Amino acid sequence: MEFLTILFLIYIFLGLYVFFFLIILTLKNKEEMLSYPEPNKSYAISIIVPAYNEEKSIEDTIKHVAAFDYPKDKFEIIAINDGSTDNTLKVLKKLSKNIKNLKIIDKKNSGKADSLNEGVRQAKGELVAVVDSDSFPSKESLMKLTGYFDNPEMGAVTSFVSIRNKDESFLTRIQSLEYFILGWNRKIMHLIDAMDVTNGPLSLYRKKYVIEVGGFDKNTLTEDIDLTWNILSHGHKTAMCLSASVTTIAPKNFKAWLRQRVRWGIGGLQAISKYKKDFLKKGMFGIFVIPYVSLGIIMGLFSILLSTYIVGKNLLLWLMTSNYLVSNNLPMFQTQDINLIPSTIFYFFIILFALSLFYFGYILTRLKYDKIFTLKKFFNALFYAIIYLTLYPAIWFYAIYRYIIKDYRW
Amino acid sequence: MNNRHAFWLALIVAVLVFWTGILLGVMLEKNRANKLQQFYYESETNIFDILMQQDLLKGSKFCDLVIAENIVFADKIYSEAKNLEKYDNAAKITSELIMLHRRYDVLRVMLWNNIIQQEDCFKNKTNVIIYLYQYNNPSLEVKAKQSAMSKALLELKNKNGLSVILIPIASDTDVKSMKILKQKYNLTLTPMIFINSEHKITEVTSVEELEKYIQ
Repeated sequence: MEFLTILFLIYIFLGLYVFFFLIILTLKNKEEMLSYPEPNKSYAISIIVPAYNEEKSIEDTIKHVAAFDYPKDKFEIIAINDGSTDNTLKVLKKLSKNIKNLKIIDKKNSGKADSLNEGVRQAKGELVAVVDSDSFPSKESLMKLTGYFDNPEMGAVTSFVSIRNKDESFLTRIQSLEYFILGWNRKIMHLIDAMDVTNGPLSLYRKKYVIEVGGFDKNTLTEDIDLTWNILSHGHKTAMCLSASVTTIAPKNFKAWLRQRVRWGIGGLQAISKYKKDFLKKGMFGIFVIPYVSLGIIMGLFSILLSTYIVGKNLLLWLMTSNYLVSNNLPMFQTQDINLIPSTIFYFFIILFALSLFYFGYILTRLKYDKIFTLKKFFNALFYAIIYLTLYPAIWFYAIYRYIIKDYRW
Repeated sequence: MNNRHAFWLALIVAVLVFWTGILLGVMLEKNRANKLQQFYYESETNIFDILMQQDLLKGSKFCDLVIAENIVFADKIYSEAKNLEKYDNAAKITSELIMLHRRYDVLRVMLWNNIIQQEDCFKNKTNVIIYLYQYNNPSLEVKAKQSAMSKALLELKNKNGLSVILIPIASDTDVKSMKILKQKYNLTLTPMIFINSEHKITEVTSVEELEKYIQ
């Protein structure tokens, strides 16, 4: 058997394993996926909204937060103006006239993590929520997150993020699909005690655990990933509530999207580096989360190298052959060139492709992605499954490069 | 937590599906090899029949019949070779076709040798083109060259029909008789187009250029 065939078979086996793992957990927990525990008590909650030059969205965000379906005397909003140079502070001050539980902290610019730590320091609640200044949480989302904290070991609970501007460009439409799949997979991770990312748009933390682990790390590009890993590393639990929804704005052009994804990539690498000491230790965190994320990156990188090698080799062969054919006045194409005899590897890929379509379709249906599923949306889903997921690991090359040269710009 | 059983359950299902797939793949490839094997047996019988026929029909008055039989046979195994190549490209798990490839090469060497034996018959009446190519791990450069050469030869054959006997043979499948013939004609390079036991062409050439070497 050829070396390449062996590599393909390894990938196919791992692909099958991951898909069956996700499908088994999905089917086994299909009733519980969208459910959430009712809280035994009303927790006092401080909602921190850090903002830097967010004059356009901060008003709507604060209004959404203020409208939470939660006892008004049980939550406070802490809006942090992180040295904005626009009218963010002015907007906040105007809002505070009508929203009684809105507290404003105005500070010099020191970054998101530092702002969040300041918010935690000033928070009076037993729980602290973080809401990004461009995110709109649904009314009932906060309440749905609190029930998980009846478990005294629960350290962080995150919500389900969808994209508000999904019709703005092709890229936002694809990301919209991606967020649904990511959300569902995060819930699957929750089911095995391995939920590894609390998102920025809406996440709820137990304040004493945030303080215990040292708060948000200022030296990382993804303070949310770092805090989640830190909480897990300290032996506490994390969870995800698919019913608690929040919308956010996704990058609409490639440049902004790339910048965001590279930042996430660098943040992931920083987390792996920081917590590598916990590898195969500390329960599911060391046994599953760290190896799973690390292996995912390695496999992604390797798949890009492999695809580049195969595509490059065939392209080069085609160019060399074409050169011979053209210079000798020979036909570029003959009917004998058609080979419709598929290999076993091809059939395996068809199985994997069918499994992924089935899985994605199921998720989109369960999460009510769209009432009307048009042909265009079907092609978007195909694009996501075939092109987007295949090319996505290429981002890791740039992220690794920036990580190595310590270029930690946002 | 019960959900952790999913790790093992998924592993069991993945192993089952994977090995079922591999077994089906082996069966599929064996089935394809069997199909080609049937063609091979038929061709093998044909070549023995032709050899026997030629033994019985010695003499120049039967030349036309001998040529016709050889052309039909060469064309038949040429098209079978094309099928073999396609199946070969799709065979990823088993190596049955490699052996079949070698057996076909022996068959083609037998045909070539038979033509050499009947040289007087073929001379000036039909063109015998032997195409020697690399089968085992050719470099990209060689692959490109072979692809272009085989296209040129197919064009030549399509254009000149029955006046050309085209016999492509892999030169590196360890067929002993092949080695002897290569030595006899001093055919050291591959890929090579060897026309009428005389002209050796090792570079990609246009159909018009190739036609200059044929009668």
